[in-house]
Amino acid sequence: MKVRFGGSVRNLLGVKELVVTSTSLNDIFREISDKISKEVQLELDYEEESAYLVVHDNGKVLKSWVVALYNGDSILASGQTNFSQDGELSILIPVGGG
Amino acid sequence: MYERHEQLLSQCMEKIKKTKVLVAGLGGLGSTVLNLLARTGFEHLYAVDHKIVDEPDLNRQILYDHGDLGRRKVDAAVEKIKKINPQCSLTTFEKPLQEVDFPEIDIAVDCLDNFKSRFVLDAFCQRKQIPLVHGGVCEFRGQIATIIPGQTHSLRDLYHGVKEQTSFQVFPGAVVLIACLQVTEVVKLTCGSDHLNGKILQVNLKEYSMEIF
Repeated sequence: MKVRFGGSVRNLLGVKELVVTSTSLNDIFREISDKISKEVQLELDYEEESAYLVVHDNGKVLKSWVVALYNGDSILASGQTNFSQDGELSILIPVGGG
Repeated sequence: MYERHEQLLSQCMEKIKKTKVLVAGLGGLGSTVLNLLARTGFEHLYAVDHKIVDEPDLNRQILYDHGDLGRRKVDAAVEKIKKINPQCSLTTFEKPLQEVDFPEIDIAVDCLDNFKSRFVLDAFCQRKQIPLVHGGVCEFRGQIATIIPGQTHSLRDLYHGVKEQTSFQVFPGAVVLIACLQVTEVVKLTCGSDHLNGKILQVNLKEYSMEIF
């Protein structure tokens, strides 16, 4: 499946999109970590209604809130953590100024 | 005054003239959105904002100039829009969004500067079954999305988990570009053309990238 990174997420990871073969959220991010040689996790906090991307890079830990969509649906809202190979996962940070 | 674009929009110029559009927020996005809607031929406009024109606004809020400093944005906007297109009626509300009793409108444009207010507008559009054209901008980036009640996710559902931004730096060109895209979506909605329909269009001026998610 394709995983796309939008907004400042791609600056954090240094990549625009990746194709992964895994289908569970944890495995997808393990595979992404291997591909970009940085440890990356997606933390879903259902109680706080927040999704965080945690990136371990050269001894530094960078944590940023994100919006995570699978085929346009929020995975934080749906609770979905297993996906189909033909779907698309998008991790982005919408900006809020006007 | 529509001579230079009426052939492009010939099928729906009359519809454009009759469509009632609400612009929520008269800051950077709202200034350009309102200006372009009036020039395009939307003759029934509504706008809500309760702030005054401040000097830092002038880098991107193209409806205002130094002579407007200290004035209510709604008053300056009425004056400028009248000068741009005398056919255009602009009804303004100088109150926080949640306190306004809006008349019947056809399309709402989100030009607000925080997600809390956006979700108030989103809830209003869901209640009234009105399309919402969302826009947001920061630094060199921005995004738009078009929310259709009953067809797409609401903005709140699409942006589940979103947080308010902490950077208030913004490149003036990014604001104007995002506003232009919002107006294009309003025209597409009005004319029945293909629009984003629940997808997010992200733009990054530093990379010259434009992608749909």
